[in-house]
Amino acid sequence: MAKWLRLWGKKKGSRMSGWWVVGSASEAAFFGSLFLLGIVTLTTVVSWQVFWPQSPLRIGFGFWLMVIASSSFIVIGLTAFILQISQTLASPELRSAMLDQAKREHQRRSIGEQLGSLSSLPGLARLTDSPGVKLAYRLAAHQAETGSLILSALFSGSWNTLLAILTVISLQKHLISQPNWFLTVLLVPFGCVSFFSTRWFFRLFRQLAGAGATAVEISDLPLLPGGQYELYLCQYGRVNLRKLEIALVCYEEATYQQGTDIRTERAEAARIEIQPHRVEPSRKIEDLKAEPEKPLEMDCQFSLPSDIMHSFQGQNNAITWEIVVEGESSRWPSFCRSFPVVVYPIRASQADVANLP
Amino acid sequence: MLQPAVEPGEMLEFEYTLQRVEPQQIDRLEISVVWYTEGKGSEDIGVHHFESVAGPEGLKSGELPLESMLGPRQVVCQLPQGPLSYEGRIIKIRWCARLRLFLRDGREISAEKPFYLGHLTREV
Repeated sequence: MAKWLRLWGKKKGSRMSGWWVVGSASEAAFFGSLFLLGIVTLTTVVSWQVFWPQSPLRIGFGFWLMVIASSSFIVIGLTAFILQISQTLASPELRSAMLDQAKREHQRRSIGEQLGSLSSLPGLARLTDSPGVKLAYRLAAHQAETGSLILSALFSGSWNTLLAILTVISLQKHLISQPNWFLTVLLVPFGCVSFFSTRWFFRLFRQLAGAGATAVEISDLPLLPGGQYELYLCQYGRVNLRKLEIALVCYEEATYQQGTDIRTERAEAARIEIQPHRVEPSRKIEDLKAEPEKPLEMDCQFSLPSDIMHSFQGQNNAITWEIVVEGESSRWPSFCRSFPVVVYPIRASQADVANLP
Repeated sequence: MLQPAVEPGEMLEFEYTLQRVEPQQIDRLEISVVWYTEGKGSEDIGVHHFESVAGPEGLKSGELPLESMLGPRQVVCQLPQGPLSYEGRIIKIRWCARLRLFLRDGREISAEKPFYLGHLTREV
C-alpha cells in the first residue's frame, strides 16, 4: 500500500524505486490538462470574436498572443501526452521494433525493396555520386568550414551595415549642431565588434581561399577492413607548403541534452597515416609547391587494418571516418580539410550494401 | 547459455526459464536481442530480434500464447553483420539478450545477458 502513496521514486542504478506507473500517470495527466486548457482557451477566444463581436477582446496584439499561447499549449500538451502514453504502454524494445517495422514497410512501398539488416550504417549515395578524373570517386569536402565562413560573412556584413547607418545618423546630428553624445559613445564598442568580426571573416577567408582548393579521389567505396586502396590528392592555387599530412581518421560523435541545450562532442578514436608514394615524375617528393597552371598532385596507397571499427550512424551517436588533409605554408595560414568516407563491416553482403539509402 | 563472443552472421542460441513467478501473475513477456549505445551521448537502441508472449486476454496477432513460456524455452536467431560491439572513448556499443516481464499488478522485471558481437572488443 505504501508504494501507492509514494508519488516520486529514487533512481537506484538503472531502476527506480516506487511504482513507476504513478509518476508516468501524473506526467500524462499534467500534459493532458495542458492540452485541455489550450483547447478551452482557444475555443473561448475564437468564439468571442465570432459570436460576440462587441467583446472587450479586440483583434490585436492581445488576441494574437492568446491564440499563439493556447495553440502552443495544444501542441505541447498533445505531443507530450501521446509520448508519455506510448512510453508507459510499450517497452523501449517494442517501440524500436515497431519503428523498425514501419521503416521497412515504408521502404518496401516506396522502392519495392526490404531494408537490409545494416540500418545503422551511413548510406553511400551522397559519396558515390561524383566520379573522379583519375580514380573511381571524387570525395566531397566536409561543409563545416564553409558554414563558418558564410556565418562570419553574414554577421560581419550585417554588423558593418548597422555601424554605417548609426555613424551617418550620428554625423548628421553633429552637422546640424544637435549632437547625440550617447550615440557617438555607443559607436566605439560597436566599432570594436565590427573590427573583430571583419578580422574573423578575413582570417577564415584566407584560411579557405588562400591555399586554394583541395581535391581528393579514392579508388573504391565503401572501405572494408583489411582492404587496400589508392588515393589521389590535387592541391590547387599558388602555395608553397612546408608540410602536408594526409591521414584517415576515425571520430566518435555523441549528441546529448544538457538542460535545454543539445550538444555534440567529438573525439578522435583512431588515425591511420597515409604516405604519398609517388608525385609527378618531374618533382621530388619534398617539393610541395602548387602553381595556378601546375597544381600539386600526389598519389597515395594505404591499407586498412582488419580490426578497425566500421562507420556507425545512430540517432544520437555516430562513428565517422574522414580523409584529413593538413597543410602548413609560410605565406598562408595552416589549413585542415576533411573528406568523409565510410567503412563497412568486412562481411557486409552486397545485398545489404545495395539496399542502404 | 550465451557465448561471451559471437561472430557476425553466426546463430545465437539461448535458453530462458522463469522461476519464482507464477504464470497467472504474468501479463506479458518480451524477449529481444538488441544493441544499445552507452557513453556521453543519449542512448540509441536497435532491436534485431523481438518476441512478445502474452496471456490469453492480451493476445494480439504475432504474439505467442502464454503456455509457451512454461518450462525452459530456447530462442534462436541469426546475428547481423553490425554494428559490432565497440569500446570507444565516448561511445560504447553493447549487445545483449533482454527479457522483460510485465506482471498483472503493474510491476516490471527485466533481466539481460550481454555478449560481444565481433572481436573488436575483447572479453573483460
